[in-house]
Amino acid sequence: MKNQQLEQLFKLYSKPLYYFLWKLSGSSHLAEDLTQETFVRATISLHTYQGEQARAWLFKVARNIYIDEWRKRKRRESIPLVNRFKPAEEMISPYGLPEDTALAQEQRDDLNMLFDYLPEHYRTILYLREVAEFSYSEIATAMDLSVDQVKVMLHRSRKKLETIAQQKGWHDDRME
Amino acid sequence: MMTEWNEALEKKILKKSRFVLTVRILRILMIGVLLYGAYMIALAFITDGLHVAEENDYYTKLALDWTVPNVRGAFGFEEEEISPLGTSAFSYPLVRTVGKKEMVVGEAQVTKRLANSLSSIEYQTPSRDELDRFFFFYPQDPRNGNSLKAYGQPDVWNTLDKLHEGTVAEVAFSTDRFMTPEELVAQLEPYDIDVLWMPLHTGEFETFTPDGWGGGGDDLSVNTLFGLTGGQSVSDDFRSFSSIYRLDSETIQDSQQMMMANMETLLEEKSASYYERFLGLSYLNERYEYMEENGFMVYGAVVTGPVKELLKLEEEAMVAGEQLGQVELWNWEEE
Repeated sequence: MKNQQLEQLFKLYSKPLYYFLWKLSGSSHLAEDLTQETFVRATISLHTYQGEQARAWLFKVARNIYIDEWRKRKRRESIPLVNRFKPAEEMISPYGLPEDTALAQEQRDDLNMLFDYLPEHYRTILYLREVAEFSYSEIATAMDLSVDQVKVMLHRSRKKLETIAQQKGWHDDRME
Repeated sequence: MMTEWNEALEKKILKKSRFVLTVRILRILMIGVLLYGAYMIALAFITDGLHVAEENDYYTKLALDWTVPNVRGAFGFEEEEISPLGTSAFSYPLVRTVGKKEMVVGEAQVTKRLANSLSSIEYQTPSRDELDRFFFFYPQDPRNGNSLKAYGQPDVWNTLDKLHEGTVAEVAFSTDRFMTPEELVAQLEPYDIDVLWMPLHTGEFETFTPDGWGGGGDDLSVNTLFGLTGGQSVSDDFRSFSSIYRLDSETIQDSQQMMMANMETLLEEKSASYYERFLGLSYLNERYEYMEENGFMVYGAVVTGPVKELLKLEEEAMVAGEQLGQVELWNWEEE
């Protein structure tokens, strides 16, 4: 793929990717690194994707990089002393926050905070649909699902979000 | 500290991406170069350790000894680099003995790939000279026992008569009957000549039909010759050889034993594709079994010596179908 085309894609999608990765990982610094890594990996095989497909595929790469990063950290934890020399920045787990964790008072009205309780695939699907405004078929590409599975998962993720909101005594019209 | 998206951040990430990508590409290239280097070193060690080139050198020369009358591979070989695919290529001069000297007549270029079917031995000779210039006639048809004739070159004896006595030559002839190598050597003992090669009957037309043969009703000759020459043996690591350079009464038994031992080794240790396709030794197993059962039977010879000594063979009743080979200036002294 020509450099020019890649740069064009970068200009188009680096910002939404950055926010997506920030949302997933809970850290802007980490999102920076992961965005950069997304483009490094994408360079190798992006030529096979065009237009909207390219966007969906970039998000798929980004999501995989986020999951890889989590796994890498888990592996590192099992090696003694590694984290002492290279302390890792906080990162939200793909499994979501434990549901018995209390919401901070000042963040009680923040719908975003509720997201962090969701497992990664629910967070991703909701983010892609609600924030990045992906079509069903784009989500299907980005998450390796069929369109029907996308619809089912979206429904379930909304239900899950609702359940968590009720557990936390939180209410918002957007949840209706 | 949260960083909202801005142009500076965009530039920073793009710059970093490019840098990381470049570093990774360089790293992959470096790893590739290192792996290639390590692979080539390992390959060189393995092939050296297994003496692949020496082994192929030995066997290709052996095949040449057996199939081309009075042409041998000179001692040693020139090895080219072994290729990444494990192909070993080497070459050695081809020599013909005329008198007491070996004359270079061409070059063998051996390319041994991992697959025997893709390996090759090419003989290059100046101005496309035939390496295999002699033919031998069966004294008797193995299929029905009928006596056969031998047709040689015209005027061989006349030419030898005309040649200056200060010359040496090679002469090939067929015999009027099948003989044992010992018999033929004994018969030629009175002459001051060296016996270099003898065509063997290895069961052609009895246990197998040779690939190429010709006959006009009263004669019969095969194109894929198989012959006895001075024996060769080699150490297990293919580094030290012992060679017998001519067939004489003292060494004729050894030469036969060495030949059988070499055939046995090839049959036992090498695949059929190695000796049939790469070395070009057809029906090796059939030949070996036939010779094992019936012993060595020859029906001609290639000899060399002073021309006037060769001329005396005209009086030998057993000599038929004579052909004159290369003629050289006098060199009939043991070095």
